[in-house]
Amino acid sequence: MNRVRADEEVFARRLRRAATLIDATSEGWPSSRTARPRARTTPAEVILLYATQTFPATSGHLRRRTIAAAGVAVSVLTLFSAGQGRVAAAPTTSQLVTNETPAMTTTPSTVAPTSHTLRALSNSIVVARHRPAQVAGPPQGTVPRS
Amino acid sequence: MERRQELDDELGPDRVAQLFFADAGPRLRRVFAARFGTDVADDLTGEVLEYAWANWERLAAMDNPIGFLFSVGCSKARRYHRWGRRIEFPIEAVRPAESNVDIFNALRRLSADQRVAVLAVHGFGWTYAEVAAILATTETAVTNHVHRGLKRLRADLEDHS
Repeated sequence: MNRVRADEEVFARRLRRAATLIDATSEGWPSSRTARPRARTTPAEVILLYATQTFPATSGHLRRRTIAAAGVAVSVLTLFSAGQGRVAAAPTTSQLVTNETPAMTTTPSTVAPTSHTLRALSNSIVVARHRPAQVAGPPQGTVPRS
Repeated sequence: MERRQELDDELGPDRVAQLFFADAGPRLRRVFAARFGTDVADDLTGEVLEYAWANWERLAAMDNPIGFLFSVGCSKARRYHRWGRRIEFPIEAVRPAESNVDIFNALRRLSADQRVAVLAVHGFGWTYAEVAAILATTETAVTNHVHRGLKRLRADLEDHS
């Protein structure tokens, strides 16, 4: 009888350990599409996913790259989903490139951001992240004096 | 439905949505991990929550939105799984001395429903009612899956030990 109970206990403990391991491993598993470690999906990411999916030309790969790269956008969008009652101004392209957080407006808002806002925001992210970096140098058309 | 309406009145619909997402996300990820493997669970949960966000109005009116989202996830999982593809699970590093069978290999051999039910009830410690709600099925069906799953799991582990 004791042997049976001990076996039961070992079996139950083994199952619990297996479940814990599955739970821990599934979180932040490298994405099957990009083979890149990814943080757990936050509500802000969900919004961003929704926004970027409205682009028919945006592939899943690019969508995930956008999410991985646009940390600033995620933090801005967190404000939408966090129920702060405030709306952040949509960041400009230069702000996205320099990772600068846009100024907050104090206008209380109870409505969700419109799809137009989200589309404009995600569009600016995609454009900003794929624009080649500016190379410092003399303005074009000028000839250095010899 | 009445409870949902009360919550909406008390907290506001946005807060109710946030609470739902915070609760449903981890639960769905666990179930998807048990059913489809650990490699796709995170992505699949993200896609399902994205769907929930886009269709929140419709979901909010449902009696069992999480059960509906589970079935949405099952449909979306087809893209991740091709026929015959092995389900990804970790390797059991610590094993009892008398056993030479990896428990994850034994779990893979169960049917998908049995695996989810066994892991949810005996691994994650959920009640039968909670498992029935997320799988959109009855408690009796969950009981059967757990019973048959455990029986098969024991036989598998004992046969090879």
